[in-house]
Amino acid sequence: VDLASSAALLGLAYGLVGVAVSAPMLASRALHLAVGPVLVVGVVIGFLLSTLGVAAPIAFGVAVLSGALLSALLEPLVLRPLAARNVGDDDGDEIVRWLVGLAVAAALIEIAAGRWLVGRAVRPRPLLGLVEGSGLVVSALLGAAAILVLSVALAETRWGRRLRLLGGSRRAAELSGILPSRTRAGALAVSGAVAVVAGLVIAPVASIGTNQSAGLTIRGVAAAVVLGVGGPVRAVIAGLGLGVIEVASQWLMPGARSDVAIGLTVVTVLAIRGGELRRDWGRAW
Amino acid sequence: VRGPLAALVTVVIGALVVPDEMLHVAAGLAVLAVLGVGAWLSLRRIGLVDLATGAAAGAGASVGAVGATLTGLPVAAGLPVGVALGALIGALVGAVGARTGRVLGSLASLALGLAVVGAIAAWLGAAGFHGIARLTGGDRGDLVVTAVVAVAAVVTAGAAGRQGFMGRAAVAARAPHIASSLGRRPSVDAAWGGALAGAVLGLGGVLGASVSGSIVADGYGLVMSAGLALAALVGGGLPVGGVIGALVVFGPGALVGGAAPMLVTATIGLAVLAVRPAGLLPQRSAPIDPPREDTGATPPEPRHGGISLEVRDAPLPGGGRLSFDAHPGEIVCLAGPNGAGKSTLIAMVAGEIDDGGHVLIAGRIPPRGAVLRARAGVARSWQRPPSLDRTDGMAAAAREAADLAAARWAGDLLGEGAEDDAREDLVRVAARRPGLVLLDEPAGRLEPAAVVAFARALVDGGATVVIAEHRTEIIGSCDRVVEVTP
Repeated sequence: VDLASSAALLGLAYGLVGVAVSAPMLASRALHLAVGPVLVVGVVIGFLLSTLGVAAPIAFGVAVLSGALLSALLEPLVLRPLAARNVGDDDGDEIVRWLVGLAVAAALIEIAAGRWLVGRAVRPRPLLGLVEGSGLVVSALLGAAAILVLSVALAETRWGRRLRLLGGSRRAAELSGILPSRTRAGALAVSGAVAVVAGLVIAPVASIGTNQSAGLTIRGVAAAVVLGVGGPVRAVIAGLGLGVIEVASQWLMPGARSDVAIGLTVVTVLAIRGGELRRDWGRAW
Repeated sequence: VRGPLAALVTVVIGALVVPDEMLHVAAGLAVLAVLGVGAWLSLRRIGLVDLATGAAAGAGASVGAVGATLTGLPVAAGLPVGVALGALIGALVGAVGARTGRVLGSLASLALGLAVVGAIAAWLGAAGFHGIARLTGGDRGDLVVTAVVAVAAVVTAGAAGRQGFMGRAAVAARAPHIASSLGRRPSVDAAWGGALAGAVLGLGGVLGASVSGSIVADGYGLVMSAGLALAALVGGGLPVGGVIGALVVFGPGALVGGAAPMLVTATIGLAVLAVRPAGLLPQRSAPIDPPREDTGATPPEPRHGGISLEVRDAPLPGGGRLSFDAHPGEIVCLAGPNGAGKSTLIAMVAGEIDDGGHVLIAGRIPPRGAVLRARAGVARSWQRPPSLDRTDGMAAAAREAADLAAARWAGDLLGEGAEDDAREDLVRVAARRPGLVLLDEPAGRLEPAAVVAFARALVDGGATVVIAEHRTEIIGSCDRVVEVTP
């Protein structure tokens, strides 16, 4: 039961990150390769505040806002400077620059957070300070609610449609009065905030630190794309699958890193379903 | 020959006169140069968004260098092991990247890198800590060897980058759908290119481990891979650009130790990229060596003769059905509004989507898939072709002198003033000397008169041409028009 509940909670959180990264993905056609470090920084800030005696709801709010702010800053610091100068310039190279820029930003956040955290006392605690047991259930319910709200927002609201239009055609979006930078920053902020919520959801059953940031990025982004682009149901199923693989690999090989099993699974799925996913990717906008 | 030789002599002399206290740092910088060249090959030359470059180096370092030390062999014996493992990882990145496309390929490479780093950690944990043996036994000897390898890596990358297999890898990584339509297997082509890049990285990994004397698995993770990717972009279009980029991003860290200097250097690298998106050094306009003989410019004759097409009751997106045929020596227009299903029909005939048995090519059920249909003599153009280097495209499309002559003819006919990517797309079509040509709204980006002249020359040579179009200038020039209604 413990293993199953851990797998479910991890999977739910990865699915939530998957839905969260869909927002900037729809707006930019790039993957949010810095979502893992953003999640880690937000969660650690929450823990630090809790350790200092700040009330749990306030620590939670500050953690989420930190994630949103850090993620949103990637727009003016990475995406905007590396964007194509003119609409219609070679989009392929722009996306390559964005992906590399986001990966570099992830590395820099990892380095900076690692140095900042050295020697600091951090006491992990369940989401909102809820007690063990019922805390897991409430965490799961909160995660599920967040997935539902974000999915509806992406699929049914004007905001979601604006993101999709921007990702589909920057020119068309601009002619419709959409400001690309502000819209992308908003999408990044939402994804950062929701990723931190996901990190707080899994805090009782997983270790969250700078060493895990790249692994968390892979889990979240993979949940968003390995079963097809843009669907919250697929993201949650993929996330649950990754959660099961993670828990199973730890159970079967307690000393080994679960990153090996997760990484190989993601590569295998992408290798097998690559052609289909590539066509899906092209049709998603 | 003289340039590399002069560089080699300069580097060796430089290595011999470096002060003793700088030997270790200088050897570390030479290793960085090798790694920078490997990343340049993968990201700049081929176009893969490779975030497993650190893992390729780490595999070389852990199995090649540590393995050689554990077994009591000289580290040099680990070099081929490191090269092989790096090549394997690079080939995997290339193969999966060409299958998924570049964006999802970046995720695949990141995941592969994470798995490899995890495996390295497990292997190092099982083996215990090991001081890795020196390459030559002395600091100066190590520096000379690493410096010579660095120069050799730059020269090799420059020479290999001009070979056809790297051009084909570049097309496969940047536009797998184009590679398939040219009859190539994108995953195989990209794997060959990725293997070369990975081999250089694996080599650099072994050298780096030997110079450092010890390794940490997590040192080969995202930080290293992201830094190398940035180095490749910042450096620009020549292999030595990878060296410059690596020294910019990692050099200060190598001098003072630790990853913290990257907070400054990588930020500077991003700023450089923002100002100069093409990098510090200019992109080569012709990466592949041009053919030595003047092939002339002649209209293409189908390699295997003209090919007829029959489409029977093919389903259209609007729910209707369509039947038509086309024969060698005629231009058939598929005319209809946007959304009617013209491009879907083209994709169906080209084998990109399942034709459900509604298509006969040369009177027979055609092979499945775009690659086999392309090899059977079907060629297609695209509404919005991606930007590809002409010589890379020729490496993927042309195999004989007659192909190059056809390509030159098409380039001359369509004119240098025409929209580059669309023109290059038709140049690649001509270079294949196909028997059945499918053109998807070519007049959207090219002069209709040039498109008609192009198509007429192809059918005069014996090919069958089907054009999906709604421009009246094109429709009026076709031999037959088939209405496609939604």
